[in-house]
Amino acid sequence: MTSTAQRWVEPWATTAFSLLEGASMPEELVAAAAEQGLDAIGVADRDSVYGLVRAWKAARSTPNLAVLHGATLTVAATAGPPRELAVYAMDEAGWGDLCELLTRAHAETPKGEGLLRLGQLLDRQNGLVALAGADWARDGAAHTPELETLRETFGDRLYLCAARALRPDADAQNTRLLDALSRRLGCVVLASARPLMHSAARKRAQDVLTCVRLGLTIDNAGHHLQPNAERHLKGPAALGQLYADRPDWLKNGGAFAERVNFRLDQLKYHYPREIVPEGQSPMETLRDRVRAGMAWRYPEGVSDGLVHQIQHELALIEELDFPAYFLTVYDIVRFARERGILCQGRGSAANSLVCYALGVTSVDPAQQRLLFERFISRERAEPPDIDVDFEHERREEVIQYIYGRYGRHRAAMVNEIISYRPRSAVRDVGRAMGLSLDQVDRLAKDQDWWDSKGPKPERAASCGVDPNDPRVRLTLEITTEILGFPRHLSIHVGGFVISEEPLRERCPIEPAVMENRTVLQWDKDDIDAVNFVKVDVLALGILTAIRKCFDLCREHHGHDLDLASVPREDPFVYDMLCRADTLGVFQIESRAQQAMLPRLKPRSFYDLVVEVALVRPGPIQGGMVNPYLERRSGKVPILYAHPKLEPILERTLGVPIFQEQVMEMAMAVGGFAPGEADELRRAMGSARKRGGLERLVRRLVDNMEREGIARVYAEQVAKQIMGFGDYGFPESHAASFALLVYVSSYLRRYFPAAFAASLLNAQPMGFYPPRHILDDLRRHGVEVRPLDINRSCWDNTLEPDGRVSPLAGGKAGRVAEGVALRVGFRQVSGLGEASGRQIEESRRRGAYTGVGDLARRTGLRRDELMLLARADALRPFGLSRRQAAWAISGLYAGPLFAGLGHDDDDAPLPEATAFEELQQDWLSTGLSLDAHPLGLVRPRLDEQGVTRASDLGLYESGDVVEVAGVVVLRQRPSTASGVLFMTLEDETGLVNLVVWPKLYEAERRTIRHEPMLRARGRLQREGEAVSLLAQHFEPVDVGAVPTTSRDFR
Amino acid sequence: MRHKRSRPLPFTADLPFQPSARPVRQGPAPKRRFLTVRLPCFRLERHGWSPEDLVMLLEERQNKTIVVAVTPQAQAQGARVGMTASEARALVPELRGELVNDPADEAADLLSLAQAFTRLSPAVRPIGQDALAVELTGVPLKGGESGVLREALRLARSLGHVAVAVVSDEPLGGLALCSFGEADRVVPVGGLAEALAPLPIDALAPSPRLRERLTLLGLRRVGGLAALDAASVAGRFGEEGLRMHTLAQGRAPVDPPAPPPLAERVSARVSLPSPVESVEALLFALKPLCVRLGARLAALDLATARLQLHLELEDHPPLSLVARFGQPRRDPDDLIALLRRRLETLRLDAPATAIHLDALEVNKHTGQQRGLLDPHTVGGEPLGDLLARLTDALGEHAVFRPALQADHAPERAWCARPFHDRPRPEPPPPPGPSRPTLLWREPRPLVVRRNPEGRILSVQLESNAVVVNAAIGPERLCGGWWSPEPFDRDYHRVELADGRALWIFEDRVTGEFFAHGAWD
Repeated sequence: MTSTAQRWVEPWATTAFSLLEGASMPEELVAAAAEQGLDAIGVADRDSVYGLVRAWKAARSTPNLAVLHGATLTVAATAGPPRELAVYAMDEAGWGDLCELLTRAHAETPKGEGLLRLGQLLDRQNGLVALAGADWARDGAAHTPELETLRETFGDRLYLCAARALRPDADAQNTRLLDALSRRLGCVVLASARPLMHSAARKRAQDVLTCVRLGLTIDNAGHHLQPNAERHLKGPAALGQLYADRPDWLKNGGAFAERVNFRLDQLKYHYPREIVPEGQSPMETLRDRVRAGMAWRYPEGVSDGLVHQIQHELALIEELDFPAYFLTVYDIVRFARERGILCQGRGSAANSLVCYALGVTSVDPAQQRLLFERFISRERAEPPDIDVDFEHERREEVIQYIYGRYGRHRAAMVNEIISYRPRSAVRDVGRAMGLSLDQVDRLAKDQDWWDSKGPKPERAASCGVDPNDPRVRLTLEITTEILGFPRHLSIHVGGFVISEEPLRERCPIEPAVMENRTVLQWDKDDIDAVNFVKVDVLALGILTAIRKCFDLCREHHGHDLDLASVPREDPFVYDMLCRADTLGVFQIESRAQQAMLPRLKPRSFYDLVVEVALVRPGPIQGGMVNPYLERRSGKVPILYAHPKLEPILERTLGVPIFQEQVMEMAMAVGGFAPGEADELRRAMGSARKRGGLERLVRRLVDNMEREGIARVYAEQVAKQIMGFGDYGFPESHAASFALLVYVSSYLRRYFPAAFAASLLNAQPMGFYPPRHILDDLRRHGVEVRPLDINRSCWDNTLEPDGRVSPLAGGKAGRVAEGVALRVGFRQVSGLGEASGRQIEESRRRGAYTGVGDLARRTGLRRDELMLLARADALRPFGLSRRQAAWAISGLYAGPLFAGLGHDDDDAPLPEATAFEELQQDWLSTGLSLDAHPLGLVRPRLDEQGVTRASDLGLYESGDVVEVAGVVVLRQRPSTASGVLFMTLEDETGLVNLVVWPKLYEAERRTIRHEPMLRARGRLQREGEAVSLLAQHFEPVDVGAVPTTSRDFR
Repeated sequence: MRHKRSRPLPFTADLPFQPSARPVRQGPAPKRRFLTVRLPCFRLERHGWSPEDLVMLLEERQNKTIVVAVTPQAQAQGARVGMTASEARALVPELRGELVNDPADEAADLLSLAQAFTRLSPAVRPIGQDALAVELTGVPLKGGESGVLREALRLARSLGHVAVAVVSDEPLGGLALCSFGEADRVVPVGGLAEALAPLPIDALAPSPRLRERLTLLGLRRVGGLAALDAASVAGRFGEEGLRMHTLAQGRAPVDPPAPPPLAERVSARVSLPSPVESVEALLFALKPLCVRLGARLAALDLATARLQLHLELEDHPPLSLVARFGQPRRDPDDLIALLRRRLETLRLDAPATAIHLDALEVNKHTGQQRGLLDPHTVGGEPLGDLLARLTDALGEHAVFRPALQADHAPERAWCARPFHDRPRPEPPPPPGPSRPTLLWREPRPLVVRRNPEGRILSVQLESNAVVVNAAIGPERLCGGWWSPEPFDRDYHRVELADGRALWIFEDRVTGEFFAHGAWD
C-alpha cells in the first residue's frame, strides 16, 4: 500500500508524434493519464516536440494532471548504438536549451532523424533535467563513461529511469544495473512503464507502425515487435503492482515532477523591430507609412469617415502593440511590388483600412462596410492574422527575401503534419500486413477521395480482394484505427514565423527537404496556441495567370492593366457571368458555382462577394441559399426577424451569409458581448477540429428567442453557424476573392486569347485541364494553332491571326480580336523547360530546316526529339509524326550501318488513322485540335440515340436523354449530402451531371473508375444552365485513349 | 468445385533424346521445314487443370501477384495474362488462383514432352514456355506434312494437352502463327512471310522498349516491318530489330535466341519385358539404367544429389520415391548402391512394368578425393551420406538442423531446416530471456492452485499436485494476432517440491494453465 501523499507520475511517455513508433495521440495519453489518476505525465517524443502543444492544450481541461514538457534525445555514444535520453525543461531557460538542442540534433541529419553528440548536449543543459535508462550501462555492466560525464555536468538533475514490462529476466537485470548505477553515480531512480500507447488495445496498431517504420512485414518483423502489450500507460494501481518491490522509485517521481516547471504558457515571444528606421518608434513609422498610403489610395482626398476609421485602427494597433507586425507585412509586400510580383492580402485583413493604405489588401474597406473588430479586437488581444497571396511561380523569391532579411535563426516556416488518410493508411497497413502490392494498390485506389472514415469491407470484394481473408479484415480494421495519426512532416503552404529573439530557442527548427527551407517543429494550430505571430506567404495560381495576362494584353493589344485599373462594374462582364460562361475564372468555375450564377444573376461587385460566399458549406447547410435567391428575385418579400437585424442584414436581403453578420447578430439580438462574439467566431473557425461550438450556439438561440425572434428562424441561424464550423467565408475574405473573380472575368470577357494563354502558362491550377481551356477558347471563336517547331515557344503565345489587326478590347463590350493562340512546348508531356527554352534560343539564328538541323543546333537528346515528333511539332519539316520519328531514329543509327549509304527517308511507313493521330495527341500534349474520341465513334453513338452536348438545348426540362463523353471532372462537395457532380466531355462540349448517392453506390465501379461513360438521365434546366440528373451509366469503349479526370472534394 | 485431374505421363516411347540431332544430308540441302506445336494450356494442364476450369496460375513478381496463365474459360470472362490477381478476381470473383514457382520443373516437363514427340522426328526442342519445334527436314513423313501435323495434334491430345500446330519454314514463325494467327495448317514453302504479315507485331515478341518505338512508327503489323529495308531496320533497332525483321520476312533469324537449357533434367527409362515384383529383379533392371544415367551425367559434366525413382505398377497408381546423396555423385556404382539401400525396405503393391530414373538437383561435377588404399570406403561413411541416408529412411521431418527464428512465441522461436540448407554465417543472437532446456512440442494442461494474491501454490501435471517452492514471473508474451495462432500468455518458472523446474503459462484468454517445458 502506498501513502496518500504519494504523487503518481509517469515520467517518460511517447506519443504518436514519435512518428511510426508511438501509437496514441497526445490527447489520448493525457486523457487516459487523467482518468487513471496520475498526477503528472512526462511527454518526451523522439527528437522532437511535435506533439507537445497538443498535450499541453489537452491538459488545460485536466487541472489535476501536469504535463511535463520534454523530448527524447538521441545521443551518439562512443561505443555501440546511440542512446536515448529524455530531457525536460525546468523553466523558460530550460525550454530554450531544449529547443536549441533539438535544432542542433536535426541540423546535420536526414529528414526525420535527430542525433546529438554528447559535447553538444553538455553545452546547453543548465535548465534541463535528464532521464537515462538502463541501456546507458555499457555491455550490461555498470561501467558507463558517458553517464559519468552526464552526471558530472547535470549533477542531481540527472535521473535514472526504470522501464519494466513484465519481462522478468530483463526487468531483473535492469533493476540490478540501475541499483549499481544509482550507487555509483548517486542518481535517483524513477519508475516508468515507458508507454508507447495509452491502452494495451493499441498493440496491433503499434506493431503495424513498427513494421511501417522499419519497412518490414508483420510476418518477418520478429523481435522488432514488442513482446507484449505492456508498454501502455499505467495508472497508480498497475504501477504500484509493477514496482511493488521498489516503492522508493515510485515515490521519487513526485519530487522529479516538481522540478519540471516549464509550461508553454510561460513562453515569451516578441516580434522583430528592425523594420523601423533609426530614431523612430514602430508606431511613428507605421503612421508615416499609412499617411502616405492614404494619399496614394485616395488621391482626391480622404473623407471624415475614413479619417475617423484610420485613427480608430491605428489607436487599437498602438494599444495592442502590433505596429511592428504591420510594418513587417508591409515590408514583404513592398518587396514583392518592387520585383513586379503580383500580390494581394486576403482574409480578415481586408477589414482594415490600414492594410488597404499599406497596399497589403486591394479591396477598399470604405466601400464594403467591413468590420475591423473581425480583424483585431481589444477583447481578443491576439495578434492579427494577415494572409497575403503571391504569384505562385514567384513566391519562392518572397520566401527567400524573408529568410535573408531576418536570418534563419529568427525566421522559419510553419510545419504541417501529414496525417494518415484512408488511402495512405491502407497502403502502409496493407504492406505491413503482407498483402501483395496489387491488392494494396487496388484497395488504396478504391478509397473515395472524400471519404475520411476508412475503407469499407464490403467494397473489398469489388477490388478483387477477399474481405473474409483474415489478413484483409485486419488490414481494414487497423487502417481505421490509425486514421489521423501523424505519418510524416511537410511544410505549411506559406506560414512564416519571425521573432525578435532567436526563434530556435522558442521552438526547434529543422531543415526541410525542400532546398533552402527551414521549418519549425510546430504546425499552425500549435503556433496559434502559443501566440506566435504568423505571416502567411501564400501562393495563388490565378495571380500568376492575371499577371501573365496583363503582360500579354500590354504586348499584343497595347492595353496596360493592373489590379487597380481594370474597369469596374462592366455590364458585359456580368452578362457573361449570368450565362455561367466562366471556365477558368477564379473561384466561380466549379460546377456548383456555375449552377448558381444563372440563378443569382450577378450585376455588381457586391453580388460577386455574395456569390463567392454563398456557395459554401455554411450558407448551404444553413439553408440560406434559396431564401436569398427568392428574395433577390422578388418572389419573397424582404423581412427581418427583428428590427435590430435590419442594418446588419440589409445588404444580404435579410439573410445572414457572412461570418461577420453572425457575430453582429450575436451582439445585437443574442446578448453576446463583443468578446463573446469573437469567441463565437473562433469556435466557428475551429469547430471542425475541436468542437465546442454547440454550447455557444444554444445560448445564442435561447437569447434570440427571448428577444422575440421566432424559434424557427433562430434555429436556422444556429444551423448555419454550425455549417460555418466546416467552411464559411468572412465578408472581407469574400471581398478580396471577389476582386480576383472580377478581374479574371474581365480578362476572360475582353481578352479571351490572352487569358487562355495565361491560364495555360500558369498551370497547374484551377478545375479544368488545358484541353478544356483551349476547347472553350475555340468555342469563343479564337483560332488555336498547333505546336510548330519553328513558331512555338516554351509558353503558349499569341500571334496575329491575319484577319484583322489586334484590337484593344474593353470598350463597349468589344472583344480584343486579331490574335490566335499558338500552343507552346510546355504542353508537351515529358519535355523539360530547359529544352523548350533551348529550342527558342537556338531558333534566333534562323528557322530549323530539318530534323538533323534541329538536333545539331539544339543538342536535344533522342528521346526529347521523339517527344517533339510524337507531339507533331515537326510537321513544318513536311514530316508526319511517324516520318519524323523514323528520321530521328535514323540520326542515331549504329556505326555498323553508317556506311551502307541507304537513302531511307521515304520508308513505307503506314499512314496513321484519325484515331491513332488522336491517341498520340492525347498522349503527348493531352489535347487535340483535330478530333475528339467521341467524334470517332459518333456514328455508333448516333445509332444508339446518344445526344451531343451541343444538342441538349433542344430538349425540355424533364426529358430523358442519353449522353456520352470523357469524364473530365468528378466533384463531391462535402455540403452536397453525398451528391457527386460529374462533367462529361464530347466533341461538341461539356455535359454536367448530378449523381445521387444511391446511384453512385449501385454503379460505383463504373462511375468511379471508367474513363469514358455513356449516361442516361433526366434533363434539368435552370436559365441557360443545363444538367442531367443521372439514372444509369455504362462504359464507352473507344480504344486506348489516355484520359484523366480531375477529382475534387 | 472441380478437382484437378491426373494427367497421363508423357513417356510413351523408350527413345533416346537427341535435341541436337540433324538428319543426314544427301545432295543439295533441302529447304528446312518445321512443325511447331503449341500447347496453350500447358502450364495449367501440368498442374492438373482442364480448359473448362475457371482457373489462373499466379507468380509473385516484385511483390505483386501476377497472372501467368488462364484457362480459356477464365479468359472468356475477362481474365488475362499479365493482370494482377486482384484485377482478375475483381472481374471474375469465383476465379481460382494457384501460385506456381517451379520454372525448372516446368522446363523439365516440357522437355519430357519433347521426348515424347521424338516419335515424329529425332530433332525436337522446346521453344518458349509452351511450345515444341519439331524439325521435319529429311524425315520420312507418313501422310505428308498434313499427316504429321494431324499426328502431332493427336499425340498431344493423347498426352492430355490441348494443342495447335503449324508446319512452316521456320519454327519461331510457326509459333507466331500458333499464338496469334490461323493455326493447324501447313504453310507452303516460301509462304511464311505472307502468312505472318497480318499478325500483330506482338507475334514477334518484341521487347517493351522496341515495341514502343515500333508503335510510334505505326508498325503494328508484322507485314509493316517486313516491308522496310533491312539495313534501315538494323541501323535503327539493332540486333533485336534485325532478328524480328528477318523473321517477318519468313526467314530464320541469323542469330536465333538461345534455346532454353536442355539438361535441367537428366533421366533414363526402361520398360520391363515382363512385370517384376522382387527387389532383386528391380535392381537388376536398374543397373543398366544407372549406367546410362551416369554416362549421360558424365557427358554433361554433371552430378546429382538426389535420384527420383518412378515405378509404373500393373493396375495400380505409379509409385515414386526419392533417394539422396550427402554430396553430388554420378558414378553408376554409387547410384545403384544408393538405390539398393532405398529399395531394401520397399514393398511393392503390384508388379512393376516400367522404371523411370530422374536425376534431381543436378549440379556441376566437382570430383571427389578418394582414399589411396581403398577407393570406395574412406574410413567409414561420410557424415553427409549418413544424414542423407537417415533422411531417406526417416523423412525430412525427422532429420533436420534446428535454427533460431525471431518470434516471441516460444514454440516458434526455432525452426527445422534441412541439413543440406547450409546457413549463412550470422552473428550470435543477443542474450535473450532464459528458456527451459526442454521445450515440449505440445503444451500440457495443468491444474494450478493459487492464493488470493495470485501466488502459485501448487501444480498438478499428471496425477498428484506438487507444491511449488518458488515461482518467477510472470513473463508476459503476446503476439501472432495476425496469424491463425495468436497467443497471449503469462509464463512462470516454477520450482517444485520434488525438485523439478517447470515452465508453465496461463493462457490469458481462457485462463487455463499449461506446462510448456522443463529445466534439467
